[in-house]
Amino acid sequence: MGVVCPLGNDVETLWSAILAGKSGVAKTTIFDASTFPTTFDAEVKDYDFRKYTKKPQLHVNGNRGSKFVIGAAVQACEQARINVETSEPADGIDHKRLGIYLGAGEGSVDNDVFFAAIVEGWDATTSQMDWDKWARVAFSRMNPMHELEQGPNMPAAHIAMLTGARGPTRSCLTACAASTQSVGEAMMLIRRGDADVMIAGGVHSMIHPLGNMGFNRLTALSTRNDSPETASRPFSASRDGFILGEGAAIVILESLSSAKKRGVQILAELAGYGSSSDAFRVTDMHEEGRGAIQAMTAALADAGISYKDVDYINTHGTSTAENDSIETKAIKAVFKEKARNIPASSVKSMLGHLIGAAGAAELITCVLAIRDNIVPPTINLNDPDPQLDLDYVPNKPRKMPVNVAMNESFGFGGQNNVVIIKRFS
Amino acid sequence: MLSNTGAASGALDVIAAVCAMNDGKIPAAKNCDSKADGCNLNIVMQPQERNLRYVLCCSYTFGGQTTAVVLKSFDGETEG
Repeated sequence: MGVVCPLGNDVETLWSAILAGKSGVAKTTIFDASTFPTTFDAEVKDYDFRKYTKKPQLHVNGNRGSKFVIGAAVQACEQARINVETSEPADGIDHKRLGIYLGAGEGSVDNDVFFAAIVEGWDATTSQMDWDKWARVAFSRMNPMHELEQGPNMPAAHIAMLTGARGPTRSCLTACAASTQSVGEAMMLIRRGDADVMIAGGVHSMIHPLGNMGFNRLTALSTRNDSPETASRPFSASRDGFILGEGAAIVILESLSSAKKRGVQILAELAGYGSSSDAFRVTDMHEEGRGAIQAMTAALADAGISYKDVDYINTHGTSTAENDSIETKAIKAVFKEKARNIPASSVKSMLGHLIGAAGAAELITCVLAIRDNIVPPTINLNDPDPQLDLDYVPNKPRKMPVNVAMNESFGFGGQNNVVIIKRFS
Repeated sequence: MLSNTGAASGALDVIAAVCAMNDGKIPAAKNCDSKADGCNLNIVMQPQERNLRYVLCCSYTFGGQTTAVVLKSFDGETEG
């Protein structure tokens, strides 16, 4: 497993921060957001991709996400004993059967140059663009490699270059649900026999002026500017939106026979996956959470277990009014009489919302919850919403046996993905 | 003729391949008057009538991801 995220640039740092209930949210530094309705976010800090590669020139033009994913992938490969940056891997894996499945999104354009070209081309007298003037600046100053590298398939290309993975290489673009989906679909590829080992997870950064503005105008972001660290407060009565985060999270999935043959440490079993669509609205979840219910039910069925077997639910828990209330409703529909007794926390209270990387980062916390028998908390939960009455593990982690965890991710556009993780025995 | 429609191009190719099989016609690589060095395949420069049973569609992209599918004309009887 590997991460580059707002709570640290390796798995154990992330986990210590989560168990300490730390927040990765702070004032925006990537651009000047001081006049935006939301002036804070959850940024990756103190990260340099060059630390992870002997060939930085191959990756230097990559978008912000491509650079994050290099660190996360190298960490994960190291733990799983997959040799990178070598033509003779000698790691017991046929690299033609080593694949990649990433949740991802578009990168950001080079805003300073792009906007400079627009300013140059804008004709105020006609209120129209003069494309000839625009082109003069754009063609001379925009970097063609940077433009190409904005493609959402590019982080996967960088992992392929780095690891020599030549098997099936996919990206999925289902926004906030993307990296839970990528992990689930990667498992399906292994089950089907298309690959022995998959590098799966997600990467995204939407922390740029358009990302912040767009979500602000949807009133989806918290505007608690006087207290960024307490802004992400899933399931609280005073919750007022999610916090835009960024990062990369990678897990290595491997068939049991390959893992045994190679003698690598098995951290957990990915046991089930369910996927669905609300087929309802772009921004709103279906009122009864029908897509969420369907995905949870399908994941349980795929794992061959009952809702009674689940010890911990890692919720999507975004801290928006709508998500937290509909997700609670959906959990009650699936978990019936057991719903209030299953700890269901949101690590987004600490991490913020990593969008295309969120599901995979949260999956990693599920694996660690199983490893250490401890459930991560939902921090900033001091004024519970009286309508929301599940056990959200307020403010402090909880030591308890965790053998089976469910990880939920729901995206704008109504896509829902759920995976089940089990202790490996 | 279509230019490169990016992420939609593979599906357009598949639709063209289905039409080609159903109508028994191979679409031409229009504007290819003479083959470039290294392109010494049987490039179809004019549409051709041909009975097609299998068609291979290939897509490649920046970043190195490659995909191919094989289509088979449906004879109304056999499975798979």
